Amino acid sequence: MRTSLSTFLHRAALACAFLPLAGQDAELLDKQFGTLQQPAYIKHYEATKSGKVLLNPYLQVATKEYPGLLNPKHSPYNWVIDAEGRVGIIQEAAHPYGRTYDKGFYRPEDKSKRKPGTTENYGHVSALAGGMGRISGEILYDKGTNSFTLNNKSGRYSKNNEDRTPEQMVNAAKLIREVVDPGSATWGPVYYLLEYSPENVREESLKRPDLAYDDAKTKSRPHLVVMPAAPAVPKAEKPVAKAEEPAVKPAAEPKTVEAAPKVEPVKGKKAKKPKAANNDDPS
Amino acid sequence: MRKMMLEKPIATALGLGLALSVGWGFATLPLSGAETAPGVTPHVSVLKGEKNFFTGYDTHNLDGTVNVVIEIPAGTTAKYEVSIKTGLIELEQKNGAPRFVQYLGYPCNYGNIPRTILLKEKGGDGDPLDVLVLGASVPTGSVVKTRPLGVLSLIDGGEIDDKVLVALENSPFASCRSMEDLEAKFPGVTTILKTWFTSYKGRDKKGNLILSSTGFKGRAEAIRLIGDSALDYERSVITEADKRALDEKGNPRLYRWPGAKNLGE
Repeated sequence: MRTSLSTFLHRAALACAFLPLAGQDAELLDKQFGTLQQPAYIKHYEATKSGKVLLNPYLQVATKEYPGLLNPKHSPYNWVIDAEGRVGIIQEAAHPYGRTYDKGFYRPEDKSKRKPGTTENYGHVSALAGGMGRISGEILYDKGTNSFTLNNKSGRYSKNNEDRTPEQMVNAAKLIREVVDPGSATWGPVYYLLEYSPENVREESLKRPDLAYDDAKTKSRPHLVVMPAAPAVPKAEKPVAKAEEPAVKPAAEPKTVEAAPKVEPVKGKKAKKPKAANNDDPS
Repeated sequence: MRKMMLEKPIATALGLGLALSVGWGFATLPLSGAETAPGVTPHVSVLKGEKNFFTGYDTHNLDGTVNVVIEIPAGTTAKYEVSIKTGLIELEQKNGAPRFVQYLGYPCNYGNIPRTILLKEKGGDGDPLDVLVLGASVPTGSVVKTRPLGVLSLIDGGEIDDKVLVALENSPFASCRSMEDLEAKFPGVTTILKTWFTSYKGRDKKGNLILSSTGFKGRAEAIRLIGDSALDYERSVITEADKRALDEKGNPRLYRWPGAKNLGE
């Protein structure tokens, strides 16, 4: 009896010793990927009448154990780092509760005018069912370089927050490159969009010599290229027996992406400079 | 793994349902006072869960796993299926008799993904997306978390009848990330599945197998199929009346959600 009590107390003490680790993990994640924040808003169509925010039907939650998978045909994707440091990835599909506005419309959440023909799509909140998230953005396919670029474009989780710094964008990009398989494509540059950054970071960044624009003449979409493209990693073909479509290889991205040279454009096609963001709709 | 054991399912079956239920943690109950005339055999077995098996569960979970309602446990032959009309699990009837596969027991768990549909206008059968679940045998009516691996392409009587292949969470197969991974770690599984599903219905009058397969597709196709069928289900049930009304100018009204910052206010 005494032995079992002693064992119990020992185990209890051991368990208590590990308790602060959970807090440290959360603190570390806060530092790496930004603090957990509620979404800035939920659009009128994103919740059912009972208030439930629908999950995206193409949801993937990428981890080292179960990597995400990208397909150029389904770009653009949205990504968001969740409370536990996992990467939620969704496709932009028309929301079943949404509409298409032939004449455009005024969106009250961000006081913006939307163009005619705009469809209400699933946004970042559909990766977390409206829950709290960290830094967030888009994954865009660039046909010219056959690569996926990353940015921090999210009106819900990146904009209007205390943090969401360029360093956090780099940390998120490193994680995404580690746990998401780009398939037959490669990883393109990583952009930090000033329009989706906190005000103090934006002011500082506007003074940086490496500040860039989508169009330098009009100074449209100011941004920083915070990571270069990753080198292309040759993938050995290993077809599945009797498979119509080769299944994907597990993700194995290099960790030394900062020093990587840019990917050569596809021969025979004039490579265009990839845009830092997909569209003007801050989902 | 999230399990819902059916403690008190409604059952119109008598002996048959009771016999089937042995060992599965649920019991079918005879209708009170039900008697059958001489020569009459009760056949129907209906199982009721805590929720509607077709609409009561989400397609996905927040951790990215996909929910599957188990209809036919691995190793068994009774053809249970979710009724999209009632949301119950029913034993299929064919020619006035309960349907049992006249072959070896299922090589894996068989079920479907809640809130999905393969629309007839898109070449589907109007039923939820069928799923093959790799892992230990799981009782009928369980709702389990799974990870998609690929798709078994099947053709039944000239119609596409694809089945999504998934790994049961916390099973040995859960370590697989792709079809290649499955083939490498568990040799023979894909061959067993393809052989069983193309053989269990037997041959036609010409001696050809009734079911045929073109093989397996990868995880990307499984993700697409699940997403498309989930989206088709939601679109098929949501009407204009379910949507929030626009204002007099045709613009959306500001929506206040309790869990958001609601910056537009």
